[in-house]
Amino acid sequence: MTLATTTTTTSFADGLTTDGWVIMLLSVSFVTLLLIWSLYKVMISAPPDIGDEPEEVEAYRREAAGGPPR
Amino acid sequence: MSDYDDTAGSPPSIAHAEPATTRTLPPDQHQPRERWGTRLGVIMAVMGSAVGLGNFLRFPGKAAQYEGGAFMIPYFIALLVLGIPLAWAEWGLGRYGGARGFNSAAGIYRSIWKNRIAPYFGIFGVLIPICVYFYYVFIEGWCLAYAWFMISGKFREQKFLDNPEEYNNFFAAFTGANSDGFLVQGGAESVSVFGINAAVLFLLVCFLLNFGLIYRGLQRGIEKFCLFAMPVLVLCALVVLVRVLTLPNIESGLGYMWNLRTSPDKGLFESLANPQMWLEATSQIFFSLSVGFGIVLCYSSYLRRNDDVALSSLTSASGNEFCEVALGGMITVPAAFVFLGATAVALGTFGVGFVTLPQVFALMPGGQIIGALFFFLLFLAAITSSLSMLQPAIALLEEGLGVGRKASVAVLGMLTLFGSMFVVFFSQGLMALDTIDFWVGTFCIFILATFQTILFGWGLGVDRGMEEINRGSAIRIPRFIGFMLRWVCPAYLLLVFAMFVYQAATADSGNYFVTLRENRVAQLSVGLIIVVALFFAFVIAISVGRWRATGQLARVDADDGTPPRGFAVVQTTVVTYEDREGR
Repeated sequence: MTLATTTTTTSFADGLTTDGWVIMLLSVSFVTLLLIWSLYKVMISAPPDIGDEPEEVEAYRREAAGGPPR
Repeated sequence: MSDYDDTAGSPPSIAHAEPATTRTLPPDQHQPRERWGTRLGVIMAVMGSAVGLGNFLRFPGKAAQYEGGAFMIPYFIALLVLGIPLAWAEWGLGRYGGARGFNSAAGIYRSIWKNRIAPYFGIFGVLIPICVYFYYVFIEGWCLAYAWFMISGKFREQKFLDNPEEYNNFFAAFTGANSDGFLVQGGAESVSVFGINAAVLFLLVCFLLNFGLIYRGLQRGIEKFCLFAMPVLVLCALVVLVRVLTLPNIESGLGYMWNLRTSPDKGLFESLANPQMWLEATSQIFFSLSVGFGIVLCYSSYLRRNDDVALSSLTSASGNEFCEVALGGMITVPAAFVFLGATAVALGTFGVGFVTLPQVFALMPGGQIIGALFFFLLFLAAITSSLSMLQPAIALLEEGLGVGRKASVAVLGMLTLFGSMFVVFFSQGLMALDTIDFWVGTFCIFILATFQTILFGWGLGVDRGMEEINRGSAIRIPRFIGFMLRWVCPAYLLLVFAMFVYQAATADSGNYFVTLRENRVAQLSVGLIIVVALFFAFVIAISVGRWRATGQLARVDADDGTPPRGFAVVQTTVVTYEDREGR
């Protein structure tokens, strides 16, 4: 079996053209940066939880004990 | 835990004292509801569901077939206009239903659209993943088997090197593509492992793995496995990518994949004027992100009411795109082109994956290890997808019939084993596989995705829908996405669906409508789909009766869409706080 580059006469044997480079780099960079940004945001953002703030929890506790509603 | 629904499984005595709280409780007090353990876990699980064979085999083939780099323009437009908004909508719908005590598509649809026919659209939400599973687990077995063949040096035998046609013959013998019943009668001796037919052996291995993991449950099974499998998959892909990019003359392969096919008489705009390319690019995005499958809907229903959906959905989608564009787009076609030329990458998904690539790895220095890694990563991509296909039906059986996991796994195991054996038996020309893939894996998905989009934009309403997506979110989704989900996405989907049906109905070769009229196996396959649909319709009918009897539907109907407040909220919040203090 021979390599394709010796059996085909397409222009691709010359490799990537400038527009090919641009499209490849833009596409790969876009999806890679989007993933990195998303993962970074996931890592830095704590899961929002109603019980996170002690004051809020206290308010609920008072309400549960029959105190004034928040 | 922050949600009023998280009281499931806790003593309901105090909650029942308050009418306002009673309506917020889930139906099955005796069954603690499952939840995702970590945010990264649900992201990896959804990403695992989306990343499949299409990322590494179908996408590069389509991109190379349609004008090289020009394909990426409609591809990214479809991603931004259709793919990501639809994923947001499906995540939002799922969490909305989950907060009202439902994990099955039938229950989720009923909680949004208070109409007696609404739950029956849930048939699609279980029919699609289960019928796709029938053949997908078979293909998953191929991937594992080919990883084994690679590592054992099977494809470096002299007969393969002497005659490349042997790869094709091997694949046909391995899959039983030459005659029906071939595999269940023992198959070809040349493709046996330890004296057992390889396709059936690896199918059973995959079956056991899938059901073993699904039996362990959402958190201990699916989540734990995906947290391990997805990083391993990416790692394997990176190793293969490094090897491919260091091949001599790789630029020619990259050129074939990414160059614009322009000429003096055909510029970029002429290339973009090809409607077929837009249809294929949109379909690729649509199927790749797994929207309209019913899987994301089910997975997101296990989130808590204030868990993030917007960022998690975007992260899953971007992870899928990374695997597709940055890994799949850089590996498959460039490597195949370097060794075998343009004709070898035009063989379709299975042809490229199981005929061309084994040949490429046999010729590649270090190909034995690299090939084994590649097929192992395909196997990981497949198993994380097939696992997700089982969960919607498990959810329906558990919450609809009130049965435990053991019983639901047993029922589903028998059903899917029958379906998979049907696909294995009618293997000639892979007719059963192909027919189910078209009618369920493509046609029904369009129907369900369109229904869900309309349900979000018109049933739930844009305002409530956007509020649902943005609640607890780490990123803010702009309001124009609501407009797009109400108007643009349904119109875009209907247009693509109409084009797809027209193209399928008028195709000269591979016309599924003609095949259905003339081919007995195609008719039997559609018959199987109908039987499975009737089975799930029966299960949903029982489920609806049960939900009505337990008062769950009345509670959902009384729900005005605002977040319920009551003692249950107070109780769970305090427990959470005390739990944290106690650590």
